[in-house]
Amino acid sequence: MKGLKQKPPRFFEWLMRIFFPDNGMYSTVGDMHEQYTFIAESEGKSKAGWWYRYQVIKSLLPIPFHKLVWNLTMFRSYMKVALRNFQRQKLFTFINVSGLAIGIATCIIIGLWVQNELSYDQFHKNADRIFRVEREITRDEIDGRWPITSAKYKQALIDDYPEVIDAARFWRRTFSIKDSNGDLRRETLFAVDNSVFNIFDFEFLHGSKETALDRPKTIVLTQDAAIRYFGSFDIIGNTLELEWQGEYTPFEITGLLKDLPENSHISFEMLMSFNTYPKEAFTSWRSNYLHTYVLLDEVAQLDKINEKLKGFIDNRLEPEYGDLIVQGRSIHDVLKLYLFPITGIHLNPSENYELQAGGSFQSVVIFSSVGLLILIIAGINFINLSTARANRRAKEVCLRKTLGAYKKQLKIQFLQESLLLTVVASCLGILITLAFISFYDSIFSNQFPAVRFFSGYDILLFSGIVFTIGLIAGLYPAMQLSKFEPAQTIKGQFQSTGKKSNFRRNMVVFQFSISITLLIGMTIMYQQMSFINTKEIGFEKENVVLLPSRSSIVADRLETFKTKLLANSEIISASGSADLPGDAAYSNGNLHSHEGVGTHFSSILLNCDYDFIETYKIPFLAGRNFSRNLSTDTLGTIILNETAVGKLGYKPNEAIGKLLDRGDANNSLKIIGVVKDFNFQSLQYNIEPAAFMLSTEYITAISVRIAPGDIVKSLKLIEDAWESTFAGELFEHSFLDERLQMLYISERQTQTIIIIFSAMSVLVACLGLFGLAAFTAEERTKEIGIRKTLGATIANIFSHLTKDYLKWVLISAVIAWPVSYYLMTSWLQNFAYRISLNVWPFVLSVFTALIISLITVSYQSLKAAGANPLDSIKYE
Amino acid sequence: MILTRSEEMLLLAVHRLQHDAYGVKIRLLMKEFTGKEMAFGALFVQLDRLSQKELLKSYLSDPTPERGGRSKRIYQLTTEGKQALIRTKKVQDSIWENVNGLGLDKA
Repeated sequence: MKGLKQKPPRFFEWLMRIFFPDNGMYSTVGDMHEQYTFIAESEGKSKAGWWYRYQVIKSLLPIPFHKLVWNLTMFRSYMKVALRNFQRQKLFTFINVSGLAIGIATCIIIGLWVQNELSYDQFHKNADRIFRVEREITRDEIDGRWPITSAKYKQALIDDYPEVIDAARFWRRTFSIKDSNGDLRRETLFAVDNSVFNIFDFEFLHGSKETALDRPKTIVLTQDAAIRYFGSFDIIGNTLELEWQGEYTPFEITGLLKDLPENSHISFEMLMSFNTYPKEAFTSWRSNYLHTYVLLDEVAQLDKINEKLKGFIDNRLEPEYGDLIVQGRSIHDVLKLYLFPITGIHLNPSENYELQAGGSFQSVVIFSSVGLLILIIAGINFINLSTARANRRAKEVCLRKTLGAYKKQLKIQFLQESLLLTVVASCLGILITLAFISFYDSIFSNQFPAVRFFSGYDILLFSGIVFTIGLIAGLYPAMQLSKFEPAQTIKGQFQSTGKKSNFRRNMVVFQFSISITLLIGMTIMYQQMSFINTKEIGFEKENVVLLPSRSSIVADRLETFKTKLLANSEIISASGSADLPGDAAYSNGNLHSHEGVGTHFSSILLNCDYDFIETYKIPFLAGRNFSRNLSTDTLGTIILNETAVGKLGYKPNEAIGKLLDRGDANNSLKIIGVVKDFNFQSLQYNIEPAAFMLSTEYITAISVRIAPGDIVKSLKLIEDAWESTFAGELFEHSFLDERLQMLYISERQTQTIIIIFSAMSVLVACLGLFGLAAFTAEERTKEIGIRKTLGATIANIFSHLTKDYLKWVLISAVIAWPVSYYLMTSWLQNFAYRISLNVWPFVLSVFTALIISLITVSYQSLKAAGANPLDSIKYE
Repeated sequence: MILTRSEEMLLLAVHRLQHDAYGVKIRLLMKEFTGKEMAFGALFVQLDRLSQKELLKSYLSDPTPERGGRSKRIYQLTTEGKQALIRTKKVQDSIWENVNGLGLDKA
């Protein structure tokens, strides 16, 4: 039969099958097929085809149209019902929305901050191929990470390894710069190779990327620096005078750079050409003071290169580092060379010689989890309140069911309601976030560290998250609400107690466990930070003014300056030194003992003049200070701290007169004094061995101890003495205690944020508790009325209503204690000096939670207990 | 229950076709009755409604090749369907009884 071969248009037949399934037998499709065959035989195939298509379209078109119309109608009706419900139950709606809004705001704020932390150095096009050359040196069984290298690494790496496309050095220098008015400013800048512009994406506004810093004595400015010095961006070809080898020398400006983004671990306002320094100056492999960055080619693999770098140590470094090798070990045991990806530097900064105080991966984790926890608490409020109030909707649900609503439709209705609430809450949350950020910016002088640019991707992600929150929070209530059986409900059989209130109780316990854990964490962090602030650091940090200076004139005329200062009663003492507390940049060296062969240890070496130990008020345990009267003190004497003496195996007074050297037995150093341990670094680190050596030539800073009292007057005196002694030198000052505070900035930030957010979490949890208490009190109105009629006092009823909640809080405490104990113990491991955990934070936090929840619940309970029983019994 | 004209025609068509009473054939017969094409959509809706009123019942035949391997849904009158037809016929007869002057005889 001819017709057998002819088939109706496939797509339309498929449509028919989809829309008229007919229990899988497709008799309708069959009828159409038969008719099609008939038309095809009588009137031709194409006519039959068109007929088929027309029939299908004609019958399908109304389907989507009707669906749309009905969905819209239902949507409008659901919205109307939802809004009426919200209006009728203002308190619950308020609690739900505000709790969620706070939760969402917290999440956005933390999300922005985390995004910023993770975005560091990603703006370079080749970010994943740029690495910093770092070394790891093991001294006395302790590993130290040294992100600095000598100037020779750069060329050697390019020569030895074809994978290294390019390399560049960053050498941090501080100069006095004379601006166009003749005023002096101190600037910290980097001396760099021109190849930095091939490796990093520092954007040029003017000038040539290829040649800007090729010639000696050329300099490149960012927009900020250009405005500061010239007030315009038209600066190419101008000059700036830098103090170069004692004289102010013009440096030509060859480029203008766009300001660097905040999220860069290298920050600068000026770059000068490395070639300004003669090549002959860099011959040593062991003078490590600059940062070397390399750009690898696209196929290079990090671990393979790091393996290959062992060869670099063998070929280039081993001859230089002979003294590091302890007997029986190879150089690879004590010295490692490796590449570190720049995108990881910010969250894993080196403790030594880092370019910028970094963040920490731990804070990112802590903050993210706190944000998530608060959101969970808010979500639980939502679920709890919705299910608690389910009974009020029971009649509506049953009426809808009786009138023919499917369970699915009811679920959709309640999900829509929760989505509506979530959307309102997230709009509020965004407002809160904006308010917070502008508040933060106005309170603290710096901007809130957050990405300020929202891409379409962010908005999409955010909407997705909001949608998910709405779905998850709404799912459980929707399932519960749509379950009501009409027959039972209309007869008046609600099941409001029993299993469901158990569920709510568990949720409240969970919320409070989180809140109490955060409270305990907050208290312990606070204790730890105040412990560090007040801990004896071994010297007196108050009332010390620091005056930095690199100029050789300062070292020359230091004694004159001191004499002038000390003529005033406001000035107690003054001292010049090469190092200051709080600097990570000490010189380190090995000290060898003359007695007991092979006894040696690594120590911080501090170069200072006669008055340093006195100025810092570091107490002596034995021996004496350097003395001006003994000319023998100028060479070959050393003062150690307790830890260093301990390394030698002496008691403080035994050590006096013993000899040490720095690897060369002919230049021995006599121990003339032992001081108490002092802590020059952040208390996160242990006290290291330290040694003072007398130096009056190499001075980079002057420390002045002033009498407490009129600081302004003392500063004026110091400035006058400075101007009259070092005319033309830039005067700058800072305070020692402020400088030391800087060491704890990242801990302080963590602490502040944790405190704010713990308070938030307690607030949100209490909001939920308040809602639940209000609900219970309302639901038990009749019961309370009957109790009162039968003679219960207000106190009876109050305790009857309240004790449940307090019991829940106590159960939460039992859960929170071990968790927070474990978490805080591991947090404290980060500190070399830490408090020992005692019971107080644990007790105190639970007590706080109890008090707050008691206040929250008692408002509702008292209201219910105080009501007139007559009204209560008539209630409903 | 009195049937509408189209219900009456559909039920009669089903009855006349007996074991061949499925979509295509019913539609053909309806065209013979009225002289007009009936859309498949309209036909199925009507048949569905009559089935819901339990005037019709249906079963699926074995698949046949000329229908692309699909079954036929074959309709049959139920007892209620037959009674409804009879009732309708009676009512109509009584309406038409003794009608004069329309020129019925000439046609």
